[in-house]
Amino acid sequence: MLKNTLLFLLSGFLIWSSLVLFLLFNGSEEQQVKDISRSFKVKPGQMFQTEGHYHLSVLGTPVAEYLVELPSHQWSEYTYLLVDSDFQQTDFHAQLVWKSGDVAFQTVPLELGKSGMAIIPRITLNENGPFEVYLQMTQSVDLGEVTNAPEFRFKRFELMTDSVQARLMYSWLVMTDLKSLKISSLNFWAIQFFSISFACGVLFALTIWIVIGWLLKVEMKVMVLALMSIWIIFSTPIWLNQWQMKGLMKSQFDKLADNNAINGLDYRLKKISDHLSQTITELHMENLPIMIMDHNAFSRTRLAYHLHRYNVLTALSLNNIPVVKSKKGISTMLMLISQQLLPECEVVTLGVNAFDDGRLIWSEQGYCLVKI
Amino acid sequence: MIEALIFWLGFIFLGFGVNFLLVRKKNKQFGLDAFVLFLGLFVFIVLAQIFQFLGWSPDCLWVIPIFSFLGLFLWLKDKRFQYWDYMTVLHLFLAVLMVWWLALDMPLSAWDSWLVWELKAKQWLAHGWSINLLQFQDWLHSDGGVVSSTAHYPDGLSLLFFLGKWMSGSSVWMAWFLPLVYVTIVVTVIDVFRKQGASWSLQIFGYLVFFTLPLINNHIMMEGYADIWLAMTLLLLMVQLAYRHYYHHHHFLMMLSLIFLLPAFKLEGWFWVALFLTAQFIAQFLNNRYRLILAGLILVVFVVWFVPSYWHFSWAGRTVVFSQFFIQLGSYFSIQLVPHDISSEIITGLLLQNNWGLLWYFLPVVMLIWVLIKYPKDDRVNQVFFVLSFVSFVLLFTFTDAAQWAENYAAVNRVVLQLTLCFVFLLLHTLMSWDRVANKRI
Repeated sequence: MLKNTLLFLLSGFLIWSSLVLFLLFNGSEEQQVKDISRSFKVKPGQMFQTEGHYHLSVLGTPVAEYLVELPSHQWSEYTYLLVDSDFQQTDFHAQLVWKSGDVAFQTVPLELGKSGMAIIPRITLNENGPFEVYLQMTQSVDLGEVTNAPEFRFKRFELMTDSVQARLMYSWLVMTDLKSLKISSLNFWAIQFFSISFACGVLFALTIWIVIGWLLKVEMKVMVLALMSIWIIFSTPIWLNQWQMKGLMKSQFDKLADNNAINGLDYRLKKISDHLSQTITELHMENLPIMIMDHNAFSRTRLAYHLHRYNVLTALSLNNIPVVKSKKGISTMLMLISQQLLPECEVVTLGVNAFDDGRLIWSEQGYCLVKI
Repeated sequence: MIEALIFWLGFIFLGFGVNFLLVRKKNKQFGLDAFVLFLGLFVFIVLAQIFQFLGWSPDCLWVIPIFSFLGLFLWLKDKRFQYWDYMTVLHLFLAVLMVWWLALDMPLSAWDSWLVWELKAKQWLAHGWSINLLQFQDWLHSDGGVVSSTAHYPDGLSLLFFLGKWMSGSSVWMAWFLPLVYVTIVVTVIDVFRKQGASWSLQIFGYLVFFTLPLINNHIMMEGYADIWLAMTLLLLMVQLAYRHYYHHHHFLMMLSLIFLLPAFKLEGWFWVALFLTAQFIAQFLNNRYRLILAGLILVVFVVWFVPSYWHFSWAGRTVVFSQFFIQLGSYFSIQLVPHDISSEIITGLLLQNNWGLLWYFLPVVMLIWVLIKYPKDDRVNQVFFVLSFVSFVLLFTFTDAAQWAENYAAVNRVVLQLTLCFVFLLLHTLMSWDRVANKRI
């Protein structure tokens, strides 16, 4: 039995070390790094550098593209793109786009806010002819809204060959890439993955090793300890991440949670809701439905949350109003509408058919309260 | 935190008391574990829904603490319990450690939590908990009622939020309650293995796996998603099925409570219930070679459906149609099966994203062992259920509109999460029977 155990452990050592060596060294290239932080084709004055950061001013358009000035044939020499950026804005996204003429045929999303690596597709000139790669930045805005002009801040953009060091760095980043907790962050933008060769290798190694243990009839204790050792090695990043998470949360949120408002925007929405509640009480309209119109889903739903004491209608169009009035036999409703949908709170601009007698009651912090 | 502890103990003793009163067997030992905790949740939710339906005041809920105190009294009175051994103390210590490990220093709440579960609780508080919550179209055509975009969601979690808000004005305790529940379940499951003779190495490995699954940890740290509640309930159901002879609980009551809680937490709970019943049927009525038959059936269906080029059969003037892409049975049933190749998304979700550590890499070898080794009947239900659920998950995202959300890994991850804890249990269970496996030959 001892002999079988030793054979099993030896086979495990051979299998896993072979796998690690294979994944690291098979097909690896010489380490080469190309810094393309200054290779974006931008207008004069659009990009500048401070200590430790580059700053790229994204003009006020929802989609901005900047050509990466690198010949087509050089892209195929590199496998990884390292993006080190501490810029984070929830409605702001970046990706690399491969274009042949005006036709985009490949995209690679980039993860901002930390150090991340993306795998670059190896596209040869034979496949799609000469191509160009653009850094595309997108900002989600509502129609008609003026975009902010954020300053995209980053430390470096580096291309790396498929070297051993790059593979190690990429694997470590994937293993430690546990998403930070935001209000709704369980909808992941999953960008960094292990490679399929990694997955196949681990799958194969694990299965073969367990089958060897079965054939050698090793004891359960030995098998479990062996599996545990592999599991501990693999799960080490989560221990570190969990510890960091606790420290981060302690430092960033070192106060009792306010159950009424969950962030700065929500404080504003809570104030608007309180004002609306006061108005409803003064007008004795507690039993009438309130319509909330806002394209921003968070604001709309959060207002409905704060106004839970009332009958709140959301996600409706103006055409629903006559239907609601006739079905419910009511002549008056309140509507809280965002100024993005009702500029300057000009009630008449909503259309005659929707309101026979629309009257603005108040406007506050980007919202209009209208009696309809 | 204190509030969460009080609720946690309250539900445990509620379930303990109900179980004690119903079992009434003097030679049985009773313990405080995840089963009585979920039994307590079941009793609370059922009573609350009855009171809601009858239009009684929420003050009737005060009957629940009375039963909890009764349970506490019975537990203290029952001198037959033998839980204060060193393993229990060790488990308690681990439980405290893991609650601290999992819980962050501030309560976080996911979007779904306040929008779906908590909002409903607040609307009950404001309008009366017997109010009819309706979606917009239903509200338009009915008298009374209040509009709620989440009216169609189950009430289970909302009632927990309601309980806290009604009793203390706050539901912040839910953020701590979830880690407490999860740790209770893990300690219970590992204790089950301990009672079966599992070595200390297997117990430690079990703890390690349960507490180092990244996406599970994230769901525990940010309470609000009901998927983790479904996952925990499914896990307990599996354990109850596999080890019911070793548990001196009222088995039928426990099964009933867990089966009821599945759809009470999430709508797809009904689907899991149906799958469990199907698995029960398959496992009980097939002969000993069920696993080979099941594996063969799945393989045959796969080969027939995917391997040949397009095939098509129709009868009765094309009112009955069978093809790879369309099934129609007269005017009663028709479904389009437009296959979408989402294999890369599933492989990515299971293996490449590091959401589950190395867990799903064990899938092939575990399935192989199930097929090759004859397991006792009690174990078959869990195995068949897992196979059916996994196949259903793949078919769901391959043949239905759900494929559009497969590219957003959140959808795939949610379904996988509901099955993950079950698979952890099955992996540990397979390792438990390793000595038997290792002595077998194909």
